[in-house]
Amino acid sequence: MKSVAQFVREHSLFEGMDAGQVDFIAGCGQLQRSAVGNYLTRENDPADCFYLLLEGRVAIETHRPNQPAVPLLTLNANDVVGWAWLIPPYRYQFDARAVTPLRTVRLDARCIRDKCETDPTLGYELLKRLSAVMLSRLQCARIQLLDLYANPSTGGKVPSR
Amino acid sequence: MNTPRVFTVLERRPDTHDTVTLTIGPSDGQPLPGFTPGQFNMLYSFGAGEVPISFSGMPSLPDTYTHTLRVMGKATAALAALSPGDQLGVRGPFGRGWPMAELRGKHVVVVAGGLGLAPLQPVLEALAAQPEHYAGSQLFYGGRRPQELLYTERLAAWAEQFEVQLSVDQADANWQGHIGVITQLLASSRLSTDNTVALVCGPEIMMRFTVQALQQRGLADSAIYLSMERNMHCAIGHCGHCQWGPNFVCKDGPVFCFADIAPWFFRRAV
Repeated sequence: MKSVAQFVREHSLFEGMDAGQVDFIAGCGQLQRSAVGNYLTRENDPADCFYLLLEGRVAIETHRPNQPAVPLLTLNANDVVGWAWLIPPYRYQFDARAVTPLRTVRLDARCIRDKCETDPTLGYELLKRLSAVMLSRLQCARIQLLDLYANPSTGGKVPSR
Repeated sequence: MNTPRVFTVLERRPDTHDTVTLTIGPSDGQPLPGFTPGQFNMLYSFGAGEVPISFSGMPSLPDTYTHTLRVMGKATAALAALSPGDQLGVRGPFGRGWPMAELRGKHVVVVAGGLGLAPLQPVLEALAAQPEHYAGSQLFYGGRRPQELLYTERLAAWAEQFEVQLSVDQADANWQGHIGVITQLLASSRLSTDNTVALVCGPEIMMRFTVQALQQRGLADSAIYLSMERNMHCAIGHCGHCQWGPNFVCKDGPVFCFADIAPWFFRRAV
């Protein structure tokens, strides 16, 4: 059976990273399974962990009064769920709901933050990698905003008929 | 080829709220010229205008052409309103299509966005019909909303033959598929880059980001083909409306190898 460290080493976030550093980080992790409909994060809850997605699909959502949740994007195997743990006030900004059964590594945020404070080289390396993830998400969100597939002749409006 | 030939609508199938597929046959009953997937016809709605529309049906059907079109203006609205038995004018086939012969023995990655799936449908049908002729196939298809995805029955059928990844920009919580941009799926999917050819068709911005994503995955420029769209009028390289760099999209394209157009593909105002 694979250890947490092996799963962490194989995740794309840590590809090519020094094995000692990865194992150090893996010490903050534990394997977790989640059923369909379970939430990994809830908006405004304390961001006390983040997740390496090993299997399954997660929807990042927000809520609105008396309406169904609004899914903003989905994340799949090899993605990272959550970065609110990185920056004060350490509160999740969105819900993260399991669309399919999930297998994840749950990483304890305080444990990781403490290790990064103790070892700035590790902290900088991790920050660079998470910045790349955040940049990619930002670029994807911008492309989504362009509404590329809308019919230009209707400005994206769908007739009610 | 430059005088419209009269065709009759044999079948009209609505695909989405603004997109229909027409199957048409020649009113004179004479044989039709063959075509390569990726080529296009000029469809002429009498009194309304003429528009370039790609073939979306199989070349193996000798007596008919199939075209999927979206209502964008007067001519396409008139064409989309045609019913079985109505007539239209057709010029074509025109342009250069997908490199079908080159796909043999290769791993074929098809990336389509929105209506861009239409010119790729005959390619996908060929991949599904004779999988033994290819090293493998993958389809990445991005759309606006689940209700606006084209050919949903065919997508399900293709998914039984090869990997089909769907992504939409907007959906409600009932949608079980991916939400986000297609490049995100490309970046995270297992993608073969050896002996691989990628065929890309969609809005130009989507194709720019897709090319970058494919390059990042290690695909060579010579292994990427794009179907470009410009203001095509005459379809034979005379009027100059579709000039793009040194090429006329109607005559030298609409399908181009990225290696041939890379110098001006990312250039503005070309």
